[in-house]
Amino acid sequence: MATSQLIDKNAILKSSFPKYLGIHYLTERYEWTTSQLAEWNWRANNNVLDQINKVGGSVRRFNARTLNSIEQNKINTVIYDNQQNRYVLQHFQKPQTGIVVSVPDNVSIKEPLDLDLLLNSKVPTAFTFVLNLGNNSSLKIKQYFHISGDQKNTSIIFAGKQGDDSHLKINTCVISDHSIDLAMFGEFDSGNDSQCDWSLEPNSKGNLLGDVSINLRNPGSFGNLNTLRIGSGNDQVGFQGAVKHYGENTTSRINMRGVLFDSSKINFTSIGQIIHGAAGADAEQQSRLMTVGQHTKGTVNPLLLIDENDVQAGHAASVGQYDEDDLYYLLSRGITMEQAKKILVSNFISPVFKPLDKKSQKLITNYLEGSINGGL
Amino acid sequence: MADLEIKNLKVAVEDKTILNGVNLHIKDGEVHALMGPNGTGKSTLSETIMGNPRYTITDGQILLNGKDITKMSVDQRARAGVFLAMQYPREVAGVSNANFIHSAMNARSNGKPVPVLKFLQDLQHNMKFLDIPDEYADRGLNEDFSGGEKKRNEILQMMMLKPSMAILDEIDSGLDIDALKVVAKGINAMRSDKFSCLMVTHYQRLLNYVVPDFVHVMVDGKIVKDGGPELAKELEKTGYEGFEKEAEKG
Ligand SMILES: Nc1ncnc2c1ncn2[C@@H]1O[C@H](COP(=O)(O)OP(=O)(O)O)[C@@H](O)[C@H]1O
Ligand SMILES: [Mg+2]
Repeated sequence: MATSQLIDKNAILKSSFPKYLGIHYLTERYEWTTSQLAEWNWRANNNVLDQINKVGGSVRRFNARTLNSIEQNKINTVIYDNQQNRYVLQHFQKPQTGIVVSVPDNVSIKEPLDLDLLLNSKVPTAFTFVLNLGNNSSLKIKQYFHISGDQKNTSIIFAGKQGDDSHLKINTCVISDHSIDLAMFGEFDSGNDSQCDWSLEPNSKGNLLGDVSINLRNPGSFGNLNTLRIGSGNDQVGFQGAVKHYGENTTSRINMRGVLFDSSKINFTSIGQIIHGAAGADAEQQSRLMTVGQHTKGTVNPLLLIDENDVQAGHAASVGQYDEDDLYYLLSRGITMEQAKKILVSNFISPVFKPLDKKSQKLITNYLEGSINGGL
Repeated sequence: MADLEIKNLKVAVEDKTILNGVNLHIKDGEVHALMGPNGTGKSTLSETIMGNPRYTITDGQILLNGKDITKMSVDQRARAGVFLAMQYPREVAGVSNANFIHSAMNARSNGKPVPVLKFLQDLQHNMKFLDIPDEYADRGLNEDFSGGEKKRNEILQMMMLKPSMAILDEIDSGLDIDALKVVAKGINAMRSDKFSCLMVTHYQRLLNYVVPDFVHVMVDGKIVKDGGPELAKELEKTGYEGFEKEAEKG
């Protein structure tokens, strides 16, 4: 069944703009229409593409007609899980395009897939990333969205499914050459004893609304969600990151970090959700913001939604400037205030920055330098 | 070269007066020891010289080579040659030890960056001299260092930055005898007519290894006695009680 058939007018009417605890945003900012299919290009490292092709997998561009049933089902799951969310439904009503990464069972690709996604359309882009990772397979993806071409709006949706005993490590880095309103939704679903390690750095210029989750649907699975956002100018950012525990003995870690320069606003909500029956679940989360600019506003809402007794859970949260004593210590060696603050910013982000690949680190460092130079 | 003269210095923290008129003159190449019971204001004096914003000067002057530095920022004072080995060094994991020291050296070198190779050679040499394992260069600044390792790292920074006026606040606290000897070796290696030093300590022990030119005793925010190295030896026998009683009598 094609996507658009799933979403009838009624469904849209019944849906509404999503509400998140602690996140305020202008609903109209992320609502847009177009009848034109957005242009975009992609490239990846050939040796890994060859490896994936050789074992019967694929990395390919799709439009609504070229999805196979598994891939379409994955999208349908996202729609089903988000049937209240008008943005998600609207996304799938627009001309569909995106990329599918598919790896069959029992394949371990050692070298990361280096995937550049060049969204250079003049018209707004509704882009869907579909991942299907087979049983007992492992894959690393380094995904870079480069947004350009005057589009004012971009919507990115993730629809991922992992098989049993699979290992996924994915890094999603988003940058843009101009100010956009970016909406990001989606989810990765685990298999039995699978691992999902997702780092997300949505650092396009402008506003952001995000709601992503890792769903630990099966026993023994593990999910790690890291997020890093640098706010500058008048950026308004609302981002919710969740790991949902459905299976027994599932484990999650969430670490969200944001740095605020200028007059930016960031609201972070992190959710560790443990469904009734997910005995032995273990959920830990951290959500922290560093406010560097004088006129910034940051809030964090760490939520534990627990409907099961036999679990372990914890959270930590903070919003604040750098530590005065740390600053003083650095200054006492003769480095300037500006340099010292740079060090304290990198110190703050290091738990989510250090694990990243070199290219993402470079993209983020460049973005950070630009923000710092205007913002200190 | 550094000549540090402190004149009638009065300092308050959160409206409480801690230093009640300190006078102290450290000339080029001299090593002074400042001793005294806990809580008398030794760290307050050290931090005030460095410019820690927690401390407010209510009266007096701090002259470095004849120039009042009390209006200078912390980093300006550092670049003017002042170094403070802190009683409680901070951990800043986001910058590596080596990168941090290199940045600090560059900041002090008037726009001429210190060549990387030369820097690394010096760093390695000094780390070896102080028995600091190689891999500590790439660890975060003081990250997960033990108390003693942090003290050694303060001395390493001092040796790399080559200040003209070093204040070492309880550099000996928490050190076992071997570590103490290493730290003393570092300080002695710096001694020259271009290096002045104020060693703040509660105990005489360090002074067996770094023999000071002058010893001062501070009680209740005032220097109550000045002398030579023999004063430290005397204190070891008698303790601070005599001075404290006198201070109480006023
Ligand atoms: N940052 C501070 N805030 C509040 N009180 C302080 C602070 N630093 C020092 N003091 C107080 O000043 C007095 C002297 O402390 P300090 O200079 O640390 O003494 P010493 O180094 O000689 O042990 C003590 O009573 C201490 O409690
Ligand atoms: Mg002290």
